[in-house]
Amino acid sequence: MGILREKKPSPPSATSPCAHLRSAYYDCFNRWYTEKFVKGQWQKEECVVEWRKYRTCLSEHLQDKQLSTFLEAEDDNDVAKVELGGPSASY
Amino acid sequence: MSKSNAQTIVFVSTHPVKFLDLDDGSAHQSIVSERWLRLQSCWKIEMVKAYSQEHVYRHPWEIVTSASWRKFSDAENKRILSHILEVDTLNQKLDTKCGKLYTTRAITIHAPGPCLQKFIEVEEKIRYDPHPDNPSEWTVCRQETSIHIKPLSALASMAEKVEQKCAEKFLQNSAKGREVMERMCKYLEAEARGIPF
Repeated sequence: MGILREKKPSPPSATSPCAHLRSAYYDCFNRWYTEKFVKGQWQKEECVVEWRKYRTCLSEHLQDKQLSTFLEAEDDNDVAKVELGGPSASY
Repeated sequence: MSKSNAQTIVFVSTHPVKFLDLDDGSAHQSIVSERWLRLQSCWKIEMVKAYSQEHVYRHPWEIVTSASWRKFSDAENKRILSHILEVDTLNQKLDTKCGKLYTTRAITIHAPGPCLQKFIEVEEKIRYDPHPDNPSEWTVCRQETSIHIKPLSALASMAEKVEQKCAEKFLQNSAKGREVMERMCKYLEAEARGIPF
């Protein structure tokens, strides 16, 4: 039946377990973008908690090596920030 | 729609935002968004075909770019853009000094048949700018799609047919994309005015 055929569910993907964390992050991001970023209020990072939770989930479930390198790229940045921030922050 | 013909595209976007030029007090809006859609698992490129499209949205840049972020998450849009299975953000960085936003998104799409599989690479760049004729109310969207075919001479003629199919598919999908963008813009404008949609 045509109606049944249209109701095909999407196949589960590697990142499906992160779906609820992802939508929490996107809800926050979209609100921030529309209400703050485009109005020039970009001096403060927001949705940090949502992003961390979602990203941790991604790093656990993402099997694709090529895509994982994008996640790792951010880790490197974080490390660099900590190293650079250390001495100046102590003063 | 099986898992085997789902492909993931890496999508990188940069958002240098509107800034104020203090010298003459006038507001400028710089490059607004660039995105690269690149299929993974591709190597050398030989044949290239490029298609470019330009579209003017009668909506301000702030609304259009907001819509471009949201277009994949809205339920009604998901029904129209049924070829898109998942959109994940792999990376995000905000330059809090100059207001640049960098994100890397991975888009998993449903690619039927041989299209996009193994010997074809697609690169898409989209850029949104305030329209020069009406910068506060209109936005111009420039989209470039390049389709590359890997150099496998035995498959060249077949690849060309596949490429033609891909190009048709891309043009169809970008029309769907515009439809979704229009809907999203109207929704966001109504929301900004405080009117329930």
